[in-house]
Amino acid sequence: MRSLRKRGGWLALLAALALVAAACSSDDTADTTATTADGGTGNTTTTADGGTTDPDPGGAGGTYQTALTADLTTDNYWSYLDTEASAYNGFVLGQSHPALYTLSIPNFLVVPVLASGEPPETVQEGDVWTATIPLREGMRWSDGEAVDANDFVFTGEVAQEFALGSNWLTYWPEQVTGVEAIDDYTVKITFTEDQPGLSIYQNGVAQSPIMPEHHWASVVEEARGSDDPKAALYAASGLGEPSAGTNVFNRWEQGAFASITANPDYYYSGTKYTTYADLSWTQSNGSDVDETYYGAGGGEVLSEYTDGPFVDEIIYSEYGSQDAAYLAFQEGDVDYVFNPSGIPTGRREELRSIEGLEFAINPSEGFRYMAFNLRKAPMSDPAFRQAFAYVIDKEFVTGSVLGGAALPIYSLVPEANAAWYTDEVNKWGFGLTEGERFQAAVQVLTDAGYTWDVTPEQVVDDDGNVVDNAFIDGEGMRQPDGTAVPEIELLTPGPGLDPLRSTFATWIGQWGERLGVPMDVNPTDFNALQDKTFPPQTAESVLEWDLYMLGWGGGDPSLPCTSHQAFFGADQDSVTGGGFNTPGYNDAEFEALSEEFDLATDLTTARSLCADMEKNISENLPYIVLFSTPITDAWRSTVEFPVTDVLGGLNGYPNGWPGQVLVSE
Amino acid sequence: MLRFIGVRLVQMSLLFLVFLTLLFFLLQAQPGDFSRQFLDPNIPAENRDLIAARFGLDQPLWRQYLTYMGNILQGDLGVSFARYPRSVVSVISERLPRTFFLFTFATMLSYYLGFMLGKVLAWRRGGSQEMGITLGGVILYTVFYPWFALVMIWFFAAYLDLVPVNQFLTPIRWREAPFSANTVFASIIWSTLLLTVGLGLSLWASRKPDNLAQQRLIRWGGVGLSFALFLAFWLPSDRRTFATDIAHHAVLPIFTLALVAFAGVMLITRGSMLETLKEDYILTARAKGLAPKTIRDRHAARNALLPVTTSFVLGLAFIIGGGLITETVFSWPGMGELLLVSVQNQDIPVAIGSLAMVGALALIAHIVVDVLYVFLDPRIRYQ
Repeated sequence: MRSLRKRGGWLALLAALALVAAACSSDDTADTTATTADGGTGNTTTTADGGTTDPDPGGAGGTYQTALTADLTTDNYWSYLDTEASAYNGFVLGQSHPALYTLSIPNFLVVPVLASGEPPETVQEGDVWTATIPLREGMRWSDGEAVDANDFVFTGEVAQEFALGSNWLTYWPEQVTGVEAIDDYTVKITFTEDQPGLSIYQNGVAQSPIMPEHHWASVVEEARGSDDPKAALYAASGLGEPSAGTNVFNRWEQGAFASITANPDYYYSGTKYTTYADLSWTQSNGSDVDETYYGAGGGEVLSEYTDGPFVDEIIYSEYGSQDAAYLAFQEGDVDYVFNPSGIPTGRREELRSIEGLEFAINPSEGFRYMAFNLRKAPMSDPAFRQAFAYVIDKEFVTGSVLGGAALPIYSLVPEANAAWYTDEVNKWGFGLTEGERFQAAVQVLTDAGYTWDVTPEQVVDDDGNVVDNAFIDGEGMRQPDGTAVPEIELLTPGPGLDPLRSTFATWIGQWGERLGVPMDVNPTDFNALQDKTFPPQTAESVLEWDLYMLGWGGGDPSLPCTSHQAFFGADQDSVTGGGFNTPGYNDAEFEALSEEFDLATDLTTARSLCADMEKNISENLPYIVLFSTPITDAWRSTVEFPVTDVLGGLNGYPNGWPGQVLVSE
Repeated sequence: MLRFIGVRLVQMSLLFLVFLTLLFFLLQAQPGDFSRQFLDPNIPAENRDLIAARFGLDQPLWRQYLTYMGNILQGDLGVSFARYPRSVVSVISERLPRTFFLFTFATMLSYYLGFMLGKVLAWRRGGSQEMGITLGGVILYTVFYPWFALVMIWFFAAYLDLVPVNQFLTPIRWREAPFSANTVFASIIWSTLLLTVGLGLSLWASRKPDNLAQQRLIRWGGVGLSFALFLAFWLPSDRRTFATDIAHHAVLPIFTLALVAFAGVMLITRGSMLETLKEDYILTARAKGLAPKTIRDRHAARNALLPVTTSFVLGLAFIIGGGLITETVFSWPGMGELLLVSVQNQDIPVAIGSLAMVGALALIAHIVVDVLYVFLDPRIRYQ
């Protein structure tokens, strides 16, 4: 007789198989097939090259399935802009709240959303400056309530009363001293006694997300009475919060997926946005919205797209790793992978072999750099830094060594940010041969008083001709005061974290040695590297590094030189100011430019000052800007993005186009 | 016995405090802290300081330690830095059922397979079957697990398209679900637990009567009733579709885990069985003319169970820790993945909370094993 255990085993196996079979069976109520509004043939958006049919907005266009390479950590919008500020939270939550103004795509110009017309000039009222902004009527939250001045005032008051940090602090800095609703459709913002510049007004408070007062007022009231008001506010779920953006937050299964649905009452639904070659920008829906800014409009069209939403729902599946997300993408489980860094190098070729995918390569707004510790000799000597700038052949490393995986750059503002980019920076050694770079570097050092026991020079053959790419390394290098140049440590992320920077560092080490600088290239754990170089630092600890290599990204493309101020402003010194001026740069000319930039109230002035700041940095070299990495995106060909050429890639602005993307069967 | 348990509990408590202390300082030894996440030029230094102060990171390490231990002793594991202001308990509660479900089933399957094969191997020692199974088992046991898991995904999910590639559910099926995934996990876990209890009770009760017919009636009646109740719960339930979706996603990770883990159990059982088969009472059983299968299953295997039970109970404790690699590769958001991400993000309260739970359960499991020994082997007595 068969034992009970054996029979039980078979029963268990059968039960498991039954469960699997049931799971594999189709479920009519659960499965959803992506369909399009026009019956599955696929909508087309109007494009710069004169596309054909306007899509039908309103969210009848199926389901767009995407992957996140990290977990969503909150559904609370207040928290998302403070302690939970992450790109992934932004992808899901980012398009639900309006602002007075936003940035146009792809040129990052300040354009109105809730405000009616361009930002009015600030006026002086006694000791303070004020801006009175009329709002447009007719915009509604998804639950039918009007979006009005009271919502804006509520948002500002909560941000300041609860001392909300991070991004909220950028929107509501201490220079904004008051906000009031003159009537339901007029707000008045009061600033301190200094006239607010662009970063405080147009690019600051005017772009603050607006929260629905009727939804949050009771939560805020309850939070006020708690021991920790901010924590109480952030603990509230955002589920059920109305939206005035393209999409409404719908569901969050933690660790698995989140979904947002179309907001059929979105105010700008069906509005066409056009950017012209002269940077003028129009928004028009054929009825109540027909506006042109930054010029007269007309002429060559740079980009044109229509606002949606066009899909019923967007599902953001959360994956534990990039590998898992891209595997799901390859298998067709998702249409697109949200990865702020773009597709990793190793996976690009693999994806290119798959049919039905489309690709875009876009410049990154970030950059990698090498910083000098200006508090120590010989890094404090401009000649020493210039010598390095000469010998670092960015074109050679990015092109010949890295095979085009990185792009050489000479300025902090990327070339793709055309409105702010300047080409008039000092590109040390650009266009010179390796030998010429070497000679220029040696000359700079010699002129500054550096000496060697063995002078670095190019090899000369028996006939007296200079041999290409053959050098005699310098030895026994001494500084102008006669002291030996100490060993210079270059801290760099290891090849596991970033092979590009690691490779660059190796070459910089070799070029430094060639000049006679004793170099120690030290691949370092990222956290340890940050710990050693970033704030907070003391006068002693800051002397523990010489050179380091890191990168920056995520700056404000509409006002990029605020980053220059943060990286090089004297008040941002990592020791005395706790800021990100890690090199300890303190230059009178730069400080004057920075001060003027803060006060600039128009774009033309700000751009000119920004260009001057770029030139100053490229001359004095607290950083040597090295390279940027292009962002590669891939998506299923059933998906159509309104614009694919955009700084930072499709992940960037505006959070992957949830309100404008189309899907077809 | 009670005195022994009391002494062990005191020892365990002290050991747990030492364990927590070590955990705290080891995790704090990483360079930087959570406030590094806010190294953003757009965030003023004062604001970063406020964030650090909010999480207590501005305090000296010894004060952080005292505060943390004080809170732990009051049952407060703190709040997650990365999911502020969610409590650590809430974060762990979200992940725990998923890991418990996956690893309990995988562990049970691997122990079942391992024990069954182990006793057969010992019984048929020296044959080509033994060599083949042992070799296969050892290869699976020593295989580079991340690679093996990816191969399994490629073959069964991508190539054969039998199971989903990863995750624990199909989002498009769940978007309108009227309950959360954890509700379904809880239903699966409780119903399976009750089914197991029902089957166990049936087996236990069937041994009471002397009459063979009564034994069969109770045994099969109990088994039938247990399954009937199980199906009566699930068939009309609106959670059935969602439970099968989870089960569908769990098949591959459970199968993969079991394949890798069963060989260890198999080798333990084989070794233990080989020792047992040398005992005099086995010779006596043979001399009595008992059937070989009866000798193997009733006399040898039961006595060879002791080390396997020890390994099983201790293994159950570590289930909570989850499988960092398994959960990452299969994108199964459980405790293992939570631990990995919390350590990477320096979310110290969550990391300590997760590891503390594993530590506590491991200590409890040791006591359980000690007590189990007394019941499994009557020769063992604690003074």
